[in-house]
Amino acid sequence: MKRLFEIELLKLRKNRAIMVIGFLYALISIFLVYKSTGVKTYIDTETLQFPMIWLTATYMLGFLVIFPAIISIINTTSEFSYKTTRQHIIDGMSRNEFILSKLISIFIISTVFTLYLILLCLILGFSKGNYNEFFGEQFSFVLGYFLYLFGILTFVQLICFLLKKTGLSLGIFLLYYLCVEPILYWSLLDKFEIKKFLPLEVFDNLLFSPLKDNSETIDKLEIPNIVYHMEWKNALISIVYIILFIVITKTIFNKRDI
Amino acid sequence: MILNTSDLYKKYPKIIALNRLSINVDKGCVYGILGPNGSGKTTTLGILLGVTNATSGTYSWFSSQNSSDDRKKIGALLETPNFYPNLNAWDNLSITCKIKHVPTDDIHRVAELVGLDDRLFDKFKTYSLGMKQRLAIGAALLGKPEVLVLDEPTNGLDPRGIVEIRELINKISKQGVTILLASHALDEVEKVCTHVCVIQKGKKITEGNVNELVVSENLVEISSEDFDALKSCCLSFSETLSCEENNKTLLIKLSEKTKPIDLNRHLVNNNIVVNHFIPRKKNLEEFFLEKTKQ
Repeated sequence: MKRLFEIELLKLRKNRAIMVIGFLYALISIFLVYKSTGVKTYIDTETLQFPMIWLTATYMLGFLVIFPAIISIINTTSEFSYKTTRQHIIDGMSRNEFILSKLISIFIISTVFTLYLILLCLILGFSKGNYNEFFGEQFSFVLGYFLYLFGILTFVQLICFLLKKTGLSLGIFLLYYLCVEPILYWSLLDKFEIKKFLPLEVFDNLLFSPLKDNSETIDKLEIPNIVYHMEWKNALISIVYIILFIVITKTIFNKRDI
Repeated sequence: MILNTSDLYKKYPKIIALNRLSINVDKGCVYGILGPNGSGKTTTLGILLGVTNATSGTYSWFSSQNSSDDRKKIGALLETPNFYPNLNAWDNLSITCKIKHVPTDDIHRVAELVGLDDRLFDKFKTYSLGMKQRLAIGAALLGKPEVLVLDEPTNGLDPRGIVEIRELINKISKQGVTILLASHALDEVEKVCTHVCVIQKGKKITEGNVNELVVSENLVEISSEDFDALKSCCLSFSETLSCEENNKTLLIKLSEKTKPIDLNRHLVNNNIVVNHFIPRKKNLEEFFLEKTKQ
């Protein structure tokens, strides 16, 4: 486990493309979170004050999930294009260990992004004053954010293991993320609660929008119940999805010639 | 027994890549799998190294149950060197070390062995093809494996690179490492292997000791200005078993105990002078063509 962790950390750390994307993310994320200060919200308090900043920042940075997704796609598909997957197996890694090492890699990515978010919130939060309550129940959204990232990245992994090509994997992920699931979502609008169980929607529900024109309110024409903490029910469904994605990835990988 | 396979069978949607292949490799030998392109060599090695799933059949390394831990005792190079281009050789080898549970101190030893110690901290993508190949052999040697598996180790290398790799293989085999080598280059197998298995279309055609298989015939290649006289004279020699004519050159097969000098003496006695006289063993190329023509 420790050696797999060291291997994955080395691969991520010394990849220039990944570092560039990380740097771009840092710039854009500061801008995005900072800009959310002027948005009209149904929350009375200032969005960037403690503890509400945890809710705001996790929601805003949730939009930037494409950055960790790209990093994860580069990291995983390069194993196939450099044929290092093959080499690792030949050198004595078992196939399950390889899957585990890629899970460790998305764990590292999710952790780094979450730590960055915490750091960003602390800096912005302190600059806004109000030190009465640092964390509050809103801090649970940070855990939600980690689960959101990790969950989407397990989905991304599944696509990568299935398609192996960098561009193709990214394209299919974007297609699903931006077209397929939104279309499914709207077409399932009135049918029971199914739409809430679409995979990316499940992960989305781990975060909560502070914005007034929330999509939820459009059809119901009412302000939703304001929730100040991550809902554990959603976390549980997310974990079920994560396990499902991992099992499918494992099945595909074990059956295939590498 | 280092390796034993029984009835390995691999079917792809359109072709049968491997048809009931059974081979045995003993400790300390240099075992060559010889076959034309597409004959199933890489498929065989892929199955033995866990990257290809056999349709049916079994194999076992070190007479044990199959597991990924067996592969940690095997150094392998399948076709092309597979490394991270953006990492330097040290980082690449340290990844291999971690997978194989080998301390990273071993990197210096193998780097010296393959002559890359001065380029260890350069990125892999700056390496020439020969250096990449040597680095891959170096990676295979990490942790002093008991077995080395090489697939077309000299493919794409220049003559100098080929000689270097061949010397390296000989050096390693003298240290008692068992080597399993796949190749279509006949002279390569002839020069380094002790045992050979010829396969075609996934089927084993023959298997055995290289010297026994190849050196069973006593041949002399001759040509002369007066070709017809030479030919009739050779045919009149009592120890000539057969005579093949090829491009104004005769290939004479002599009986087992006859020495080339006896034939020469016979020619001199009949006043025939030659401009080309080469005693030789049947080479693997002819052996191979003979075994695979059907």
